[in-house]
Amino acid sequence: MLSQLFEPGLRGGRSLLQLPPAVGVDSLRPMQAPNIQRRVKAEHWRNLMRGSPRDDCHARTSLVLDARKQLPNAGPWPRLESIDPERRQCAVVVQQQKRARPTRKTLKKLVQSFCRFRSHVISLSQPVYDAPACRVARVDLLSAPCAILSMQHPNPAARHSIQSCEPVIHMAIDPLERTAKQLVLTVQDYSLFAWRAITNLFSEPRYWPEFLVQSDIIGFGSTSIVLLSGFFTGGVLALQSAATLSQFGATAVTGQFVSITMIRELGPVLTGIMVAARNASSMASELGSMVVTEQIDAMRALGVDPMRKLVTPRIFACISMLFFLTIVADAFGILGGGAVTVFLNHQDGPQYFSKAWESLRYPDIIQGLVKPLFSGYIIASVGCFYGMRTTGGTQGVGRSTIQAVVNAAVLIILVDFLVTRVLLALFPPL
Amino acid sequence: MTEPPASVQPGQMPAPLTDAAPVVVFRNVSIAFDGPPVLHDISFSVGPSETRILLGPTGVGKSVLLKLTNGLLCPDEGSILLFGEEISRMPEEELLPLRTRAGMVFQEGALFDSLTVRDNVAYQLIVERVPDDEIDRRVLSALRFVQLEETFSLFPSSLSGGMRRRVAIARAFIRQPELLLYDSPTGGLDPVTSTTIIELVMKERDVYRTPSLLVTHRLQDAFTLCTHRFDEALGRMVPLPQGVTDPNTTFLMLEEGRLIFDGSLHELLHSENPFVREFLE
Repeated sequence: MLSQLFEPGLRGGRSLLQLPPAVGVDSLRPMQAPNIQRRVKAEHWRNLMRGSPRDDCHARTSLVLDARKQLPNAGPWPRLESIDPERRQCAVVVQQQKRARPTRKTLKKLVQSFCRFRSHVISLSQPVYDAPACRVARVDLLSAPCAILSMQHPNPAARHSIQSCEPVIHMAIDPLERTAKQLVLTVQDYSLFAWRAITNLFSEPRYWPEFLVQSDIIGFGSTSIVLLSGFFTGGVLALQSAATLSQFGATAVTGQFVSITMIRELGPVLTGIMVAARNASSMASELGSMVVTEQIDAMRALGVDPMRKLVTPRIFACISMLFFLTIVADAFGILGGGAVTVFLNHQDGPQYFSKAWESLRYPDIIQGLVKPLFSGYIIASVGCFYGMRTTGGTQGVGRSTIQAVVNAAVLIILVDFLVTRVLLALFPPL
Repeated sequence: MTEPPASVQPGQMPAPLTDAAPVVVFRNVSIAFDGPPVLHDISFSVGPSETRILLGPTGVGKSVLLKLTNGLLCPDEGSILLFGEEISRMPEEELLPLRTRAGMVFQEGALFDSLTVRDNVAYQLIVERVPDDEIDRRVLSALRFVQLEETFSLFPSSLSGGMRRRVAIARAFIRQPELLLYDSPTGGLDPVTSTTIIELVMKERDVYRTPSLLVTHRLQDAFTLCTHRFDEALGRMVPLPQGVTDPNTTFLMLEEGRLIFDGSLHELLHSENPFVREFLE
């Protein structure tokens, strides 16, 4: 049907569908497009019907807006994407979003609505500027997930402007495709980055002073927050568990509950998240600032590899320090649970600690101490990765910091799940 | 046709160019970043003892060209020879030692915020584990060259913009590089400070004969470099006789990523290229 509709236009015969240019419609800039419909609503029909074919001085907005009016419940909206009045671009761009099926339906309705105007040429192309001339109609649009409708102006000058102007149209599928590509690219970049950071440790030069400095910043600097969070987490566990266990007359196993939970799960995960919040953000912002102020380039220009000097020491310092910080968090968690048990729940302290000690097995401790190795690696590598790929000035530094913290925290929990699954398979519970 | 400038007086000027192999060679280099080419089909060379001034409006790709020169960026097409070695496809590990032979002064200095001036200037020496006494001696010498000895133990945050650039020059100069790359060393500075910086560039050129590639959009700086020389005895720059220009200081000009001019000051001033004329006027 569509080929029949447009073939006369292709052969240069009388056009099936022609529209006069919109006269008197305000010039548009791309950013104005979403709000323009209210302003021109009253006059777009009038403009559409009265314009002279030779008038190519104004951007054509009416058709799109009218098409939208024709399809109030058509699902994904046709949307005016952009019109550049300075270039006298007369292309009308309709963008379909999301799924292909509603798009096809919408397009059919659009074409039907356009067919009412029989004095001008309408051509469909995908994209508009692929076509050597806008008369070319492509009928495979209905099978495409998105489409661009362009309208050719009868004036040759205007037609030229359509052909010569740069593509300003972003198809609906683009963001999705770009996001997917970007995701794959990011994973690839991160894998290469992390691999290089690890392998750097096995070849010269190594920057041990940097390792010590970072160990101090990450390890000693994070002690207070890890200690406090561990202590109060243990306390909360004791409070909650005692309330529940008392229903079964089993408050005596509060110590067992707290110690196993802290050592196997909450200690490593909470410590990882706390250290990520403090140090992944710090690494991303520090390295990001160095990138945007060209300090990383300066370092490379001075013959120093930033990966070896900045990234590798941070990763190994974070892995080693998180291991010890987790032990501290576990210890203070059990201590916090003990304090709550003795002072708030008024239970027996020696019983709490003896239960906490007796119930522990080596697999529990192994599980609790393997996880921080992964978490430490994730925190430093993600923080450094986002820092080193910062773009966009100070705003970019903020963006990198957010991405580093969020991704590090999510990855810690994800990897914790996977590691727990593997370790439970290796060391099944009794 | 306009006559070329007068020849150089003996004893007043650096030695003219020799036939020795160039330090930097660009051959049909192009590079793009997610869009149209930033640089397209660039070819030129920097000879030994030669100072090449890269002119052009902002955003034309001058800094990109400078970063290509020492391998901070890789070209999409073409080849770049640095000290006779092809670097356009060289891995980073092999580029690092090569870069230590070239000093680079960045647009804003790019000093390390967390390090003192001493540690900034001595960065390469510290990495090479040179003894502390030796480092102090060489840092003081480099700071004396840029007349900033008093900033030895200060942090970059306490320095003015001009002082930072001078520290950056000292950092680039401390290992006596075989090539110096200046990325708009006077950009955003007041005229007096700009003159001080240009005098340092000239001192490096005339005293140490280091070949250099200098990026700038300031014509007055470029012309000063061409029409003055550094007098070691007086310790300042002095103008060359009327009509005499430094034969080792030549110009390149970029327009929209293309090299549209490569020649001497005389040729630049008499170029028929409309963009060059517009830029000069």
